[in-house]
Amino acid sequence: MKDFVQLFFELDGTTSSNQKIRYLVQYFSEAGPENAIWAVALLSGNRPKRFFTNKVLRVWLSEITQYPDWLIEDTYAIVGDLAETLSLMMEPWAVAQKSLGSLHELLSLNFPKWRTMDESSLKRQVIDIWRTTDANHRFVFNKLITGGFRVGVSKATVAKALAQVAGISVSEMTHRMTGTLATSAEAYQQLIADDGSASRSIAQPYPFYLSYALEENVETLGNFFDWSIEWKWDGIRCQVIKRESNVFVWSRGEELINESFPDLVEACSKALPDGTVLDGELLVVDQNGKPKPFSQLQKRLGRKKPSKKMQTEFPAGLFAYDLLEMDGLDQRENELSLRQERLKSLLSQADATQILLSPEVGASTWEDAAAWRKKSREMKAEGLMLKLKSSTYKVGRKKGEWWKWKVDPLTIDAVLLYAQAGHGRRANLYTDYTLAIWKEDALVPIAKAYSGLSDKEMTQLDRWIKANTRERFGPVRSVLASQVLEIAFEGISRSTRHKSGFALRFPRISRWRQDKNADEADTIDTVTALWRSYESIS
Amino acid sequence: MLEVKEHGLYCALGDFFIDPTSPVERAVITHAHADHAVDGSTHIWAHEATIRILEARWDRSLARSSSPLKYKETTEVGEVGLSLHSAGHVLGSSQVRLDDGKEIWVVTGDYKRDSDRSCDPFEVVPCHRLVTEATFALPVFKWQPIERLTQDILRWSEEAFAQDLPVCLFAYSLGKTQRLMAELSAAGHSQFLIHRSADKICQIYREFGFPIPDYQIFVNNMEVEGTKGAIIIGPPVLQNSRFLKKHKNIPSAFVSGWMALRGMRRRRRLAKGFIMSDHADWQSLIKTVEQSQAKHVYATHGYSDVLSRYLNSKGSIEADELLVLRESAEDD
Ligand SMILES: [Zn+2]
Ligand SMILES: [Zn+2]
Repeated sequence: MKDFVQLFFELDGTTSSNQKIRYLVQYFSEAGPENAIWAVALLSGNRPKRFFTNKVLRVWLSEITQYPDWLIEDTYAIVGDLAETLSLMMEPWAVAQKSLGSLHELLSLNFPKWRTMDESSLKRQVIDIWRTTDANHRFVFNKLITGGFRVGVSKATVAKALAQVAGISVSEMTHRMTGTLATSAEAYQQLIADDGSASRSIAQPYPFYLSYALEENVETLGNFFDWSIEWKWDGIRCQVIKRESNVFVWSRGEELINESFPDLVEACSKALPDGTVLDGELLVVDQNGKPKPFSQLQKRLGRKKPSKKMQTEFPAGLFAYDLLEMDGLDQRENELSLRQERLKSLLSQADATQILLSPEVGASTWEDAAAWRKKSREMKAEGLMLKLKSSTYKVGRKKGEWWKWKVDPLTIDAVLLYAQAGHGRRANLYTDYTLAIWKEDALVPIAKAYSGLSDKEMTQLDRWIKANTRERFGPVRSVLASQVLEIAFEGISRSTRHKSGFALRFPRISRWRQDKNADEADTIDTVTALWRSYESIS
Repeated sequence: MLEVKEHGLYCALGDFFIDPTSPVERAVITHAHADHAVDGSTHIWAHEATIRILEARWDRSLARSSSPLKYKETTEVGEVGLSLHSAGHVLGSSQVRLDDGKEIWVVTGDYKRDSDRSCDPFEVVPCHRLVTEATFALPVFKWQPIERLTQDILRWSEEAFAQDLPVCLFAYSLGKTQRLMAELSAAGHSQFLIHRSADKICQIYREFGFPIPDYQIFVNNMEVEGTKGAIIIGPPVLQNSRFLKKHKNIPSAFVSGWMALRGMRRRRRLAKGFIMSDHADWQSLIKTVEQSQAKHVYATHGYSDVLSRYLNSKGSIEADELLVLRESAEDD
């Protein structure tokens, strides 16, 4: 464990990705395959299921330290990380008396054993570890048992390091790492095999090709006819695989989501030939093959084994826009226009109303495209995707050939009502805001949002908040109602969560309207009108 | 005896403010940090070292507008007896003890209880009412012994020194810089390059007999050759200096109590943070309140809400928050 804990803090302590790669290569070369494979899993986001909720650990911490619950609660709210709060509250400078064993021992041997233990013996075990390890070990250990292990290193960086260790290309390594990895020493040997003998399972997805947001003027992209214009759907990006009569639906986060969407799995299994891999968007579609708003898809999200009723009411469909494998052959090196042509003919033969070709946007100039983009919300889309017709299907996020061109967000002006200190990076700054709009003479909350302001404005507003506090409730302060902030968001719906009766989707602060007085903020009437027009198109 | 007014904490019996936030007629100043010492007041009472530092900082004599005091020396100001007592925060830092014959108040100012070769140790001053700072009043703040910290810094520096490089520590010019110099020198290091903003202050420390080792002034256009094996200490703005931008391989670290929090280290976008503060940590705050024997405690600065609530929960002490609005501390 010691080397892994050290790796964690080394990675945490640098912002240079080259430095991170050096640390990773060094760790992988020395850790031994049975530990290295766990490190790969943890660093690419495969966390062991948590043993305890944060709540349980807070209670234990309170028992050990004799501090009142509220103190632990408040401190945690400020630190923003329970594992860290815990490791600092218990003798931060203690020298370790015991070792936690290797990463492999902890995760492959102890964790499974602990899962069968009753809570009181497990509690003894955990508290003993807290008492006998140093703060860094305790921190990493707490992260592992609460399922919150995360470190500032991207999967792409891990892939680069492993590619170096294996002596193979980064894209091949990324491919090997896509999907679900076993956590055995053999799996690691396979992963870093240099002879191409690594066998892939039939379930293994290809790495997704991801785009950047277009920030330049669209005209800078050059000749319009070199580009394919598609809708950027507001659903779940996914990869559908059919091989050897089995269907696998992978989300963009590389989770297998077959269980949540049995209707889609069934449709694919009937309609698609073996050796097919599609890239597309999972949406709820109506009988006419039209996408429904995201709020409908939301009803199916995170729900495993949905009822028949659920499936008929909110049928899942796929809007396919790319073909990655056909007849068992990798298509990614072909140009987009060829892949699209093949996709079209493949789907025209497929007999399924739930698997659709994502329609092209019928524009013939950039101006045209810009006009279509404005209509995205009517189409239930978030904007347009611009893809170079000659582009191959690349690995990971790449600039230049694929761009997302999203619609401008919706905005309202709201009044700052409450502020709460942020945590972690922003622990002593008031950066989390509750914002309100006018309803007759009262201000009613409509959203909570984090600051999206510049560092300078954030500090300035923080100072204003501290100077204009009216009341304090633990970590929350109510402030003089005078500051107007512009909230940007992606959608609006009726909700009882906030007193205004509306909920905003992805709200964030886009501007501090220092030019406006509180009474110039939006009112329940203007917001209702906005909601009506949003509903009517979506 | 004390109340919060527009310019800060005010004593009507003596007609003075303590660490006023804007210029006033009569000010008692606990120490020379900018967030406690505002220029422009007509008359100042402060420890003689604090007066010296303020003269250096404001670049003029305060001979006619100040009353320099020594620790434990009582002066009558209006109707109260005022005396200063070492706060252990930085050179000259003082707790203010006020006695009107009926009740004794102590205002701690900023203080710490940890050992520090560069200033006088904190003195416990019994009182009825205590105004204590609460900058780090959370149970996650717990400072390690200074010897362990200097060992950590020297171990971290080894690699750079072996490559004929210097290392760089970001620390405030008053207090932390001198403390680092004195402690690192005691731990065996001898080469220091100091930002010019700390030069005069270092000399005042020496005047008052504190062990500041030999040092050279750091300048931006130095050749790395001339800096090898040195510990460069300068204020956080040094992070953006031409010298460090040019020599990216020079390891640098921020020295602050906030470095205890992982999120704060990341906010500074720094590879390394060393945890050292001239403020009291959680245990020291609780200990100080207990030792003062005060029955009424006012917490100010930082997490004053947490500290006062915690003290109240223990029953025997009545605690309140005292909100004086200050620019954020320059010395945390
Ligand atoms: Zn100070
Ligand atoms: Zn201060």
